[in-house]
Amino acid sequence: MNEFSKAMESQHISAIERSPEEFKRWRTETLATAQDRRTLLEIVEERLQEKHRVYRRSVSMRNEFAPALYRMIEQRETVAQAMRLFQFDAGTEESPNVDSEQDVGMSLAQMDAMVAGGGSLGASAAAPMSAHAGAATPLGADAEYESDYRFRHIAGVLPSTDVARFERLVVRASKRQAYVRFASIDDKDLMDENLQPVRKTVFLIFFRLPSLAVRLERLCDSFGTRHSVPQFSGHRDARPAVLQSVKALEAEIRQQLYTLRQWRSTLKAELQGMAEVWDFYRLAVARDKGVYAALNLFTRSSAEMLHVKGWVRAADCVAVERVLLSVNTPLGGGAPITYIHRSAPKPWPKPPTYFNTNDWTRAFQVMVDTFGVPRYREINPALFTAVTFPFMFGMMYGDLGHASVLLGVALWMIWNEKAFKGKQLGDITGMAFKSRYMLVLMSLFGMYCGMIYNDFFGFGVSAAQSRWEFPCENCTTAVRVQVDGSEVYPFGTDPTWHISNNQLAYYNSLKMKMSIVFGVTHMMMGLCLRATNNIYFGDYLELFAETLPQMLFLMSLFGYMALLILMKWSIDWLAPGASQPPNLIDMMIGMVLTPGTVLNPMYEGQAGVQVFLLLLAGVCVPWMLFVKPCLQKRWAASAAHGHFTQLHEQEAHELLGDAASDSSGHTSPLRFRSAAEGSFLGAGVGSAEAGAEGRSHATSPVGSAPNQAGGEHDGHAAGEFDFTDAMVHSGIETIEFVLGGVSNTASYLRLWALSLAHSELAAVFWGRAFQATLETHNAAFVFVGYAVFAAATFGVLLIMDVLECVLHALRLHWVEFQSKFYKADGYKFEPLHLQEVCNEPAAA
Amino acid sequence: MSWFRSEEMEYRSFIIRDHVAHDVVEHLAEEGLMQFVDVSSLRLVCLFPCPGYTLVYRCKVTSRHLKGNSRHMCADVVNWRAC
Repeated sequence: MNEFSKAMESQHISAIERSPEEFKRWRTETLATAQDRRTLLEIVEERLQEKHRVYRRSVSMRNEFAPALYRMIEQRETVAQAMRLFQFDAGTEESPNVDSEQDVGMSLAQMDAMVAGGGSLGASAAAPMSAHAGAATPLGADAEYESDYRFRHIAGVLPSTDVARFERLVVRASKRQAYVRFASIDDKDLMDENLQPVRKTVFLIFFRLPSLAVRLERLCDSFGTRHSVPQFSGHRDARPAVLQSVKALEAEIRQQLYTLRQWRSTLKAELQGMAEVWDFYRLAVARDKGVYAALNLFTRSSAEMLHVKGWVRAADCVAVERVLLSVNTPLGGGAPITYIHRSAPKPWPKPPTYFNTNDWTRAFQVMVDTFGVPRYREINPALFTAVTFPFMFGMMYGDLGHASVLLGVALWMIWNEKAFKGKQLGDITGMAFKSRYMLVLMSLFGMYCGMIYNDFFGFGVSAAQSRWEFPCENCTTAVRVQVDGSEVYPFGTDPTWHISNNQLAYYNSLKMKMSIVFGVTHMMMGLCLRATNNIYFGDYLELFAETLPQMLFLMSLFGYMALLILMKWSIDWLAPGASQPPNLIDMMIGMVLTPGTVLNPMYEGQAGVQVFLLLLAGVCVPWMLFVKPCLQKRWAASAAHGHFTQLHEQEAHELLGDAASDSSGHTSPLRFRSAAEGSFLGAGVGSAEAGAEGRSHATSPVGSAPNQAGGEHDGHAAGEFDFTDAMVHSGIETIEFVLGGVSNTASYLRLWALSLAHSELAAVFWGRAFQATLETHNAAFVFVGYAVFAAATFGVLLIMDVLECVLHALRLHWVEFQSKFYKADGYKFEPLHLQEVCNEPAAA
Repeated sequence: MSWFRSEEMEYRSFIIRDHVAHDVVEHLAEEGLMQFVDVSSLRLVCLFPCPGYTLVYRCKVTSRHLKGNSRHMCADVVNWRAC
């Protein structure tokens, strides 16, 4: 049946795309015309088969008469070529120029010379023909001479690709005693046995020796088809007969071609009719495939009842029930054929995760989902990422000029959204288009940070008057001045820093400290989200035994450092009477190595506070390490002594599908067994008993209780409490967090590093490429210099640096931020949607 | 706050008659209302054949015919341009 689509393709008939509304109308009509209760799939199948049968029959009909037609065309071409060669003038037979004795268009001498020379047979084939055609000498009329020296000829047709090979073989077979002429056929109607168009060539072989005839004929037969050529030699009388036969042939061909064209237009109309319904068929089949695949998921509860189970968004529950009732009413005739279980037991406890996203939020959600889909009802990091990601990008990309170019690109893509959506985009362009709204935010934050850094394509901008002034011409140190009653530049960095010698030291200090402050805030936010999650899921053990000490640890060391940075910034160290500004790194190192002593204190009682914070951090480590496993062990032991009844109650509760226990997997050690294992129950009782027996020597008796409930699957390990396991787990978490506290904070320094790289690259491109050539005062140099500068700015700063900053901002979110709270073990809500089923590409 | 925490999900289960199953699923899938859970693997004994088993195969065959990307393309496809 696929011949249809092939044939349609070759006829440039494309199937008409159908909208869902059109499809619905068509379906209603089709089902109405088919009286019996057949499904749409059956109807489509039947119609397709019928069409295919008609098509096949018609193709085979054509195949019967087409080869004969081709043979006739070949014959015609051969005769035409032969006539041309023999200078047989078909149109002007009465012309006085034509000599009746003139058989061969070449003199015998020429022919002899050719055959003897043997060389350039094919290559010179056309040349001597036309050159000597006019100067042809007639053969002698002598009969004796003719019988001895008469040229024999074989004519035929062979594929054009074989010409060279054929020629070589003829030369060898005849030992250069034969002469071949070729002429290609221009007819478009010719096809091979597979009905593919083929180029063919007419050949004419001349030879004298009769002994060669058999050999050459065999050769010709193996290459192509021989065709008889009427005897042109002889006399005038033969001519009308020849012409008559040629004309008859021509008429026959014309008639056959007419039939072929008729046939073709009929089938073309047929195909056009097919194109009308093609998309309807496709949609019908794709939809039914989806539906039947879903039907396969159901269980059969009796001979004609199906048990359907699945997830529905709470908001859609009413709609689902309405659908069930509306479908049933007309068919069921009032009989209750649908039973809805509102609180059915769940085979697996974890509901899917669904977020309603739009064009703006989708990019962020995709970014988070790439790492892992959020657990059901877990806090979605995408919400926070939507702000922090573009901001961190902005911190690294901070340049008003470059970022506004980026903004222009993003706005242009949004403006031409519709044009872009239809097109097939490249890798990077497609990515940029999908994240166009993200790009807007990124460039806006980039512009903001650029203003803070006072960077515009790498230059400082004097939007307001600088608060630094050089008091004299040759002074090397600037002094502060008051403008409008303030010594502080109104927004961002003072532009004077851009021309100062200690520019780099100043910016490094600023950006480094800023990175630390934002990094600590970012991580702290992650921990706060973890606490929120703990409270939401009622997991207070984790909240007090893990999240709280982690927060305290982070705050007492790194939070304190961020606080010191802010404090140092807010002290006016140049004010008269101010003390020496402390080195913060030394201060932090001293806090740990030499507690109790502070070199340049920033506030009263700093030494005492630092000792307290250090002790607090010290306490937090064992807190994180021991509290949770020890409490779990204690609870497990007490449960083993006297809480069997309670346990069973809880189990029973879970089995009934209590929605609140969804997340019970980690609420308390006793609730480890979530409904997942619990609800297989009935099925697994037999084997579960075996499992429980096998476990009867378990160290903790608690383990056997849930096992009996139905731990046939992966329940064995989870069912009992293993203190060693819990300790190892806790130890790994603690080490990871404590070490991660240092390394993650340091990791945020990439904000500074990339920002530095960006501004330095901008400065280098400007200074080395453009400014250097400007100073030569040579137009050509400036021209080249500007080209280099523009190309480098575009390629490196506007493309590569964007990608790099995105990558690093992404890492900060995936690793440093999400590791603090994100479980990411959910799965997506993927309802069966016919619209999407129809749009997906063809399955193999 | 649908973007802060994922939307609430409900687990639904119902029993329907054979002859309306196709219509029910089609109506539900029109709007993408439900994610059907594969409970077929939980069947202890398959007393009755699955409803859509052969039909899915038939759909695949028909759609392959429609797409025309089948490997064994017949040799007698007519090249239409040549006629």
